[in-house]
Amino acid sequence: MEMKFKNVLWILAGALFVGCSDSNNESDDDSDSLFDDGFIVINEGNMSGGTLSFVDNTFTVTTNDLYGSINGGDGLGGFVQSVFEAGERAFVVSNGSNIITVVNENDFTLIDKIDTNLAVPRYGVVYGNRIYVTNQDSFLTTTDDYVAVFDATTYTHITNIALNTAAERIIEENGKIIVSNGAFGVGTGITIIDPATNTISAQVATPLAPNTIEEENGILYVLCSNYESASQLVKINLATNSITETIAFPETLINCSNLTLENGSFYFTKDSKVYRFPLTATAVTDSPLFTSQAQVLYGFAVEDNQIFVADAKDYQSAGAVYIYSANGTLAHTLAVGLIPNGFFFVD
Amino acid sequence: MLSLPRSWLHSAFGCALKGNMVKIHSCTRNCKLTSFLSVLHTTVTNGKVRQKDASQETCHFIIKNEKSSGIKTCEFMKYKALLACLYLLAYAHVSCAQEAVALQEVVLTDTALRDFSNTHAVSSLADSLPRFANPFLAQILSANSLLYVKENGAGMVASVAFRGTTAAQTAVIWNGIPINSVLLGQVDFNTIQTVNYQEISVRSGGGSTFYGSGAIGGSVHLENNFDLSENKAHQVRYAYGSYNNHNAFAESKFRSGKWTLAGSLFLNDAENDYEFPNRRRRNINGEYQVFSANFRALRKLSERSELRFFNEYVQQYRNFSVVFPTDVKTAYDDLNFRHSAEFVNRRNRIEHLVRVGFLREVYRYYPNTILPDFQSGYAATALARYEFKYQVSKKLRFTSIADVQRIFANGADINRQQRTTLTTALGAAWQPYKSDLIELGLRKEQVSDFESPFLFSLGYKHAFAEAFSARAGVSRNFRAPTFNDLYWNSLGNPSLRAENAWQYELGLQFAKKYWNLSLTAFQNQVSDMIRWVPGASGQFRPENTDEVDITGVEVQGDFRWKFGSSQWAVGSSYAYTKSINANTNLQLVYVPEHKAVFNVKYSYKSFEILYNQQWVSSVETRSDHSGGALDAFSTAAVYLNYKMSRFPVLISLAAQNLYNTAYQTVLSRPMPLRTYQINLTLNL
Repeated sequence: MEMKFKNVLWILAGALFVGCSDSNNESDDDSDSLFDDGFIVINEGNMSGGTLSFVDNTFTVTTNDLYGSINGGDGLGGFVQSVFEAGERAFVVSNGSNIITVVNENDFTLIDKIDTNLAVPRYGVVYGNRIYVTNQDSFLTTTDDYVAVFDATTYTHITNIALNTAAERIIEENGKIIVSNGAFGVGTGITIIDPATNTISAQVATPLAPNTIEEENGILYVLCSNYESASQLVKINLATNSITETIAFPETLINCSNLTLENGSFYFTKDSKVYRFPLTATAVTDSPLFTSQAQVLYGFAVEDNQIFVADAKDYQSAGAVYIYSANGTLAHTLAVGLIPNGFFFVD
Repeated sequence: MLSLPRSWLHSAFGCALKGNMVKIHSCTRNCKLTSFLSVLHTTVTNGKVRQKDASQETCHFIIKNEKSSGIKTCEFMKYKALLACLYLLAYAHVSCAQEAVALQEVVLTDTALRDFSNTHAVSSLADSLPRFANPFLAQILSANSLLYVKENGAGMVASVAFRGTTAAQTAVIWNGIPINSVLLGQVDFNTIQTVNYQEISVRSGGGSTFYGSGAIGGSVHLENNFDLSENKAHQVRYAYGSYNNHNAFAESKFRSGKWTLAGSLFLNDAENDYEFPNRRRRNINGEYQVFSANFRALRKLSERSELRFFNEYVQQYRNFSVVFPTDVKTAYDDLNFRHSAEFVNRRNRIEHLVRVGFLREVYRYYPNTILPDFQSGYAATALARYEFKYQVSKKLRFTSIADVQRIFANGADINRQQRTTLTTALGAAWQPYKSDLIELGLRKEQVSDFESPFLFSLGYKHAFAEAFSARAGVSRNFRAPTFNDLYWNSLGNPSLRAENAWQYELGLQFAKKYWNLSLTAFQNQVSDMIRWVPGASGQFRPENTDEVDITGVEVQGDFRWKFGSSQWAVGSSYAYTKSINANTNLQLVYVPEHKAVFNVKYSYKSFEILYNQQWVSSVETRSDHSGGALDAFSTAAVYLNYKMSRFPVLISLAAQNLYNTAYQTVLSRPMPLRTYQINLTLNL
């Protein structure tokens, strides 16, 4: 998950959790948003539509359809893939319905919908009054994937940047738009886009398909995996666009996913198991931090020293969220919506 | 006498009601069968009848109708005052059978349905149902049977839940040949055009001993037959309905010397942009086009033997409706070729049937209609079959079946796979006393790529009194893993076992002159259910996983009444179904607990009106019942027919979903509100 985690605020918010009232309607005094005392679970759903669950600071699920309940039953579209934010706005990406729903982060009311020039949108990021959204387009080929660029004020389309390779995760770092070129074990490499010209400035090959990317201190950490080979952690120096280190995982660690950097450690998951190693580690062993309760671990986040796991179960019943302490002790179990795939922590 | 059913066959007029036509039609079949298998169906002693239920109702009704039509009446009238209704029934049946012998009216091929299903519940959906207003089997089954039909919107993909089972646990049999998709295991009931068949029957309960894989909830039988009573007949139909729905149909039948030929063409083109209830938009991307051609031929070789040919081609181009207007628009093409040739020889008590068949299913899936890309796949099935039937005595008959089948499939998700199946089956029907009938079926398939269980069925029927009989049955049935289940690239599971089902059934039947009532209770224990379940890594793979315990009750009743030129016919049925996943103890998704259908037909001279209503209780869409349940609904339809007296023209009007009910049978897939249709039929 490359959700934007706002560590400092969260440490403060976490401190407030302890003595907080259980009313979900009372927002924290310091906050502009009704929702920054809790967190949001992205329920991917199916063709019939995905939803957002809101979990308040007492770890109570107050709604499994946050957006619909506030906006007169309106839907976010089918297969809600991800949420990204900019300022006071959140952008909800529906990859089944080619919609990005722009909402006010403070009250989750609808601002606008972007529904043109999208073709299976996956992830997005905002930089310099531009919205960059990866699009997979046809699932039958990776050569038609592109990054769509929209104006972040008017939501009008500006251009599409053809990648000629898969487009999946996208982050911004130090004035560079970084796109991972792999999904579901297919594809390879990283593409770096210059937002000044909306052109590709560099491409870095990776031996396996990138699964998730995270950045810290000028280093791009790329977890690479597919369904056949041992996974790898590839580190790319963003100043030189070159691979500085590749950590080969043991043969048992195939199809690892959910790379997350937090507090000097990196986390990833394999099936329902959660792994943690120091950022300075030069090797990875198959010794999980803990094994989660999840039947199908489908979403993962680390926030405020807590580990969040989303369970899609059988994909046709209410999903679950498990929240663990930093050492893997289960603290909370929540019933959420259909097929939870990730988390969003409001600023 | 049999000119009546025949004329009905050619005209929707006078036969738009299920109850009536069902019976009429089964009569012609029974009569035909009786002609060479004689006694098991009918025994008359001391004015009492012990026979197959359907026959009773049937002939009983035929007589009434013929009387009313002024056609030869089996000399029914003069006995009327004297005879108890059972005597009447018996007499009717005998008359019927005799005439059938004389006329050799209708030739059938799926004889197991009639010869070895007499301890089962079989109901024939009439030829005369308003098929033209309902060109697809999905709608016909939804309105007239106890099957729950799941439609992704009108005309879109449709599957059924029959007696609480899942979509692939209903077998569809075309002229005796199973046609469930080799790849998917199920049939899309919106790709079956009802106008192509003369007979559509629903056989409730397990039927794997005769119909093989998938006949767990039951089977649906599509049949073409040969009408030998007229030298030529032509029909042209055109209908226009709401949302630019055009239907055209033409059929010709010829009989010349030893040949009987029939062919039909059907075209249906619909914009299908119906308005959604409670929403401010129309159905998007729901257009479809269907073309089908059917050709069949019968060649008499001698008094005792004949050749029969059945051929069908169906092509269907459909866009798939979207849930959200901005959804990726997809499309799907189905192409189906079905061919069968049979040689039949009958001599005294022995009948031989040799059949060769070839089926080909092709699909093309367009994951995005604005792109040219598509994925495709196909499966071809070649089969050969030999059936030997032996009528040992009036009390006992046997059939034995040897069948070899070879399937080849290839496509985007299946890489050149094949399967060979060798089947041997044995059926026996024994009537030790006039009041008792025992049916036995045994089957074993040797399949190249999975272990198929030994199957059997045993049925017993006893008549306690002339109008009251009871039946009991037990059977073991199965469903084969599909090619997708076994061979899907890198995800298929080659070690799957067949799904296994044990079924127990009890039935009671009351039959009187004007009405009959049947009650059925069943239990079905399904194990090793094949489901695609997510592994720990989230990848879906098929596994033998669930166990389901299904119990249910079905009640069916018919009532017929005639007064002067007026005729009433009322038919109604209801099912209660509990289909419980043994792991969760919860009802399966998309299985309603209650479903009822009701039909009433009133006819007066050249007019006819038919009213149909169905009730379906709420269904769950999530396995843990945590939300998303679909509301219960009831829909109704009304059909009006007028047969012009001076021209061979029939005018029909239809209004469906009469009360503008908002309903869905699949989550987020609204069905149309009220629609209208006008239909002109020209009979030449």
